[in-house]
Amino acid sequence: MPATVDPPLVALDNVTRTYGEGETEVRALDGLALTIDRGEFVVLLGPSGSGKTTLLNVIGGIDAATSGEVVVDDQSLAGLDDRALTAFRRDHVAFIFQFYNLVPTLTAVENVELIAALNGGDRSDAERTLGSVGLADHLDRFPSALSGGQQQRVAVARALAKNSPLLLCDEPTGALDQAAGKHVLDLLDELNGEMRTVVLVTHDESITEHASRVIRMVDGRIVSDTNR
Amino acid sequence: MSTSVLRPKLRRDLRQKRRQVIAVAATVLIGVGLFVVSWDMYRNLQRSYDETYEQTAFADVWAHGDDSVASAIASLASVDTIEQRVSTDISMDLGQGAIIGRLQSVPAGGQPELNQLVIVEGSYLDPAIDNGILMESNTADNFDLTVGSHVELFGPSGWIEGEVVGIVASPEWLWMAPSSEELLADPLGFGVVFTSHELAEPLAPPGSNQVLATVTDHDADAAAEVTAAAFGFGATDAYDRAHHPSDQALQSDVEGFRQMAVLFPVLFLGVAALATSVLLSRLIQSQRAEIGMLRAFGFGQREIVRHFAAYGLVTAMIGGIPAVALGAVGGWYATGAYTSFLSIPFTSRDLNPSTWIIALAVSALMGLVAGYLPARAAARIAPATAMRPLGDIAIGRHSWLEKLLPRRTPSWALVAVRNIGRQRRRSAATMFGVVLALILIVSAFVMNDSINEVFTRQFHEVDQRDLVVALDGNADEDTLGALALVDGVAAAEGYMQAPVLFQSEAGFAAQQLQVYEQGSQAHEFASTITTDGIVLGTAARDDLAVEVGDVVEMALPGFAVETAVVVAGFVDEPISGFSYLPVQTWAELTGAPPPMVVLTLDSDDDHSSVRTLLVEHPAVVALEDHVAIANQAESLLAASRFFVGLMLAFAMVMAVALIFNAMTVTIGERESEVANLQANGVGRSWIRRTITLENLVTAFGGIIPGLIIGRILGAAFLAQFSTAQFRFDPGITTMSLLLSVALIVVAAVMAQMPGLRSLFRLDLAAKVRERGI
Repeated sequence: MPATVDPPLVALDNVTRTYGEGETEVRALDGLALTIDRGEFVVLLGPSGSGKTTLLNVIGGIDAATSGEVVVDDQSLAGLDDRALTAFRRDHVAFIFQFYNLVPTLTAVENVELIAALNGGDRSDAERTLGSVGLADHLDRFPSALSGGQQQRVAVARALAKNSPLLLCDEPTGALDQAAGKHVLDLLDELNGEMRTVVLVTHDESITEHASRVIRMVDGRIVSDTNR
Repeated sequence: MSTSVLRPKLRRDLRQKRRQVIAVAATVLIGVGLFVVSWDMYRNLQRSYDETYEQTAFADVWAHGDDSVASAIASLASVDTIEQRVSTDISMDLGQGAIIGRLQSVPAGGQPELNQLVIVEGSYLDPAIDNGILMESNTADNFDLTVGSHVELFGPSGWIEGEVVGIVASPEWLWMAPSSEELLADPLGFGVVFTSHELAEPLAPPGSNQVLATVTDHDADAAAEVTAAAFGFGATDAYDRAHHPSDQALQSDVEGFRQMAVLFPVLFLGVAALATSVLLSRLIQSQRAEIGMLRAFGFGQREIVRHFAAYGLVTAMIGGIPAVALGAVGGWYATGAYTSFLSIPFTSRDLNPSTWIIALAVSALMGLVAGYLPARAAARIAPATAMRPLGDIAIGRHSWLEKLLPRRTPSWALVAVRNIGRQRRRSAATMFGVVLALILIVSAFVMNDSINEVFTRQFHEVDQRDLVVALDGNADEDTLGALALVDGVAAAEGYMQAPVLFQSEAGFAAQQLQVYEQGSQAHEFASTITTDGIVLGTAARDDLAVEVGDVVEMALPGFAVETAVVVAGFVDEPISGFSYLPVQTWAELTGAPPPMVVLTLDSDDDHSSVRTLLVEHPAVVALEDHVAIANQAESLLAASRFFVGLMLAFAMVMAVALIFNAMTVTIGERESEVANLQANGVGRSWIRRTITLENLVTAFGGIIPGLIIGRILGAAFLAQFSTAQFRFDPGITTMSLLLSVALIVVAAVMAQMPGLRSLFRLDLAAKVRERGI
């Protein structure tokens, strides 16, 4: 009997994403095919406009492919209505953004609690999660009173609080200094060690050191896909 | 629920935007507060009147006529009760000189069945006391009379002295209006006394018998039918409750409060909804990335809508809850002050929880509706789009407006004009807000100007009588000559005012007739009257459905005159609706000159000294001061001007609130670009000029439609108060139009000041690092 193989966590087949029409049409993703297995730490590298953020958004269900098949965690995203997509995002993915996207009028712990509550968590879960990223002493600080690195750690804690199998990170260190960036990447390494799949978009070559797999993109196409 | 975690965000967001929230809340507060005050007043006053009418068995029908008329009315199926009494105008001296007042009789041994009197002081008539008099309470106040005071009544046999045994309130005299044609009276030139039938009958001239009736369930249609039937039975005058002079005036006020309770909330809550919508649109615009994040993490559209719609709800309730509290207290005191002013004997001053519930529900609905549209738009933003740095508001375009500008238009002006089209919906909202503010401003001016015009026309152009005296005899040549010689009198002419009844094929019209010398200076219409026939007011024309040249039957009760007269013309009198005959025709019909004289004085200033001289004149038995009536009208105008001033103040608050919110939003969106301009050396005056111009041009967009719609709605609002006795010809002066525009410009300039100040306090270093939106 052949050995049982787990299906990939992410499977894209001939995925295209275009913006605009006619002469102004931009093809952000161009017939892209890709699978990502559970537990991988994938870094998507590429210059500006290569389509890496679009790819992340399509995988995360916050943008829809113009054509092609997108399956994440055994769920096909094609044709899902807004309510189904919302449920998908709630249960399957978590995001970390370059500019943190914290709610400025909520404290650190409230920002995390907001998302934890989606999956039945509460304030104590939020406090514990913030403690795990080293911010136990900053629970009641507003984002404006935190450094960029601390804000991004709140964003990581927020993503952690969802307990999602797939972590999608869009330039998470892009706005941070080297030390703060390293701290965040170390956290992502830890999460990946706990069998969470990480897909990270960056144009910083040095981050590939953390990756188990590096995919390079140009003009909406994958030009190289290397396991490390 | 995860949205409960968003509550601190909502609270803090609102605190951050507190100035705009306060602006919206203030608008809601005024609108809802006015609703609660005016609706409570409307309900309390109506209940007070109803209670007073119920307790005093207020009649449904009044008809002047003899016993046969009374019997015929009593035989009608719908009539429950009838009662007869004397009701007539006679000369009386209430301690301030002789005047013409109303004498009404009541049973000596106990209260009448209908129109019962409420004893305010003293006691009811005692058959054991001869010549006992009950004094109407407003009259007692005006003439400073108390129980035990002595007054004199003039009858065919001369003056009779009576003693005031009681001060009473009557449902017929809550508003002191001698007749439907005379809704204003000189407080010291008119009074009402009640005596026993036995005392009144010898004093009253023929035709003074009045029949009072009630109909089953006080049915208004049945009362109208009885009134119409009464004329057919030979009544010389008949009217139902809806045409009773006092009730007519009071119901007009009640209707005014009811109108206010609808109009003001609509205007203010409309503006509050716009301001909320503008505020939320900006809030949502500035939180696009957050919304994108929430959506990316699994917040559904419904949760986003609920969250942002709550902003509208909370903002509305911040204004709505205190508005209900203040309105309830205000309504309570205002009702008290109003009913006390009118001396309404049975006052119903209830707290009305249903009004509060309506007010809170309307506030909440406004907030939710205003919040829903921007909230729905927020929920529909695709998460990935929301988190992209460039929003549509940063898109620059050429505008059609700039084609009107000269080629070398300075950049600050060009930017201002293009910015108007940058957020078209918000520019439109600002313009619409200006339109709403102007509706209130222009409506207030239309009311003010039209009321001014009516009073000026009536009391300074049409009716120029100074003094009227009733004579102990007729206005023959000798008497007129003697009166003309009194110091201060410029002219003395024969004159008469008396009830008259007209009948045509279409129906009856019971009115007051005025008689002047042809060409008299005392009245504008004296130039119109002719010996060829009667000149009718427009109300009589409508009731009788006649045209010039038609013949109508005319009866003068008390003068035994019944004749056919030709309709010689019509006059359009702004207040009242008299009919007119010349003295010569009067003398031909009655066989004698009229028993009254109208006096024109050398100057209004010395009319009190002339009055004193006339009171002592042997031929004079009563005097009516029309300068005092004009002054009374002036005091009513002062109240009207106060009301208009209040409306203008509220309109300014409304305009400032809306433009302030729109401007703050506009300025808030430009912080990064203004900071960049400042960082690159662009001066404050450039920035101030461009923002001010944008603001003013946007405001001007609403001015023309605002003026037009305000004029139309002001006229429509005023038309609600137009009656046969008060006919308003809605208009607005050029000065008022200019002032309306000036007020909006001032509001626009004031509204941008806080925003501009905050703009010049920006942390440039921080702002230039921000991503543009």
